[in-house]
Amino acid sequence: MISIIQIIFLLIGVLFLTSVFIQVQRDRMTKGQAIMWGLIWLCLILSTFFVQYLTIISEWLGITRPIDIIIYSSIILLFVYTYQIQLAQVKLSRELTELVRKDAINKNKTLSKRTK
Amino acid sequence: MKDVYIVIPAYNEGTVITHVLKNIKKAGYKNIIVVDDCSTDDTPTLAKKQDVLVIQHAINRGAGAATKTGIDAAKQLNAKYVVTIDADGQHKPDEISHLLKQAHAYDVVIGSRMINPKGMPTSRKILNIGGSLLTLLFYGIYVRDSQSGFKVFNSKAINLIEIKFDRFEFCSEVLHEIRKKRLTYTEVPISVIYTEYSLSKGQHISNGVKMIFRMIQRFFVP
Repeated sequence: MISIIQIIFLLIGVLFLTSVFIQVQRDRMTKGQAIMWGLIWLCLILSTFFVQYLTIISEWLGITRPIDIIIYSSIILLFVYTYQIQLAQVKLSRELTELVRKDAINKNKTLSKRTK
Repeated sequence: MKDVYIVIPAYNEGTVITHVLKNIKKAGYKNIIVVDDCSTDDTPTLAKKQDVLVIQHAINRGAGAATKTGIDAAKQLNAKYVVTIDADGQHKPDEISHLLKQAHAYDVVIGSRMINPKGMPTSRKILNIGGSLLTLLFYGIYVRDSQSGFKVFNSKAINLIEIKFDRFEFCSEVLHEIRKKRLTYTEVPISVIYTEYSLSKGQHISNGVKMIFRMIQRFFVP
């Protein structure tokens, strides 16, 4: 018998899996990102309905409770993703500064005459 | 002095910019570049009235970014020496010549308020000492006034130094570049004009905390 929580997790998983598919279609996500996020949402759906496999994996990993695999994996993934966001933010900030600086110099008539 | 360019990064210095520019011109320097970091007051308008080169950032990016813009502009104008000076009027333009005297022998000359800190508020002394110690810790180079905005760079330094930090921590970054690129440097004593205005514009504890955070971050996110 399917429980309410399994239905909720299934809906969430399907919703975000669909979103990943749409983002790829709209070229807003690279293939690598799509595979990564697709796998994450797929794992959510599968672990909801195949809990017994979580038990096998947790025993193999030496983790007492199967649910802890999801918690530990989620924390690691969050850290990885935060790190990537920070790298991207620093890169964007630098690129923005370069753009602003070059634009400022190019707009200055005295300097732009020299660059021509 | 036609190959000496004075670079002044400025943000909301409308109260003092005219006075600062007039004093620099009185000291005999005509090649002045003001980089306005998207001020919300009339800083750029007032600067343009003094018949100096004014470059304007479309959005505010920080003192480091503005300094780099000014240095790049000076390079385009074939500057042999670039003097960076604060726009808040705390530095004496007459002392530019003291730094330039050493610029023939050193790649970077740093105007140091800490050699003779007479009249410097205690809080500023602590901030400056802290800044110097942090720079030593993070970058392995010690100068008495690591946060001084009054510096002279020769053409070798102008071409080699790369500034990546946008905000106040670029002062420490410049020292890191000096060490990394094996540039020669020296410190020259300068006096500082402390007014309520210049004290309100300078570095604060909160800036210091942010600076530490960014310097730590730089280790992990180059």
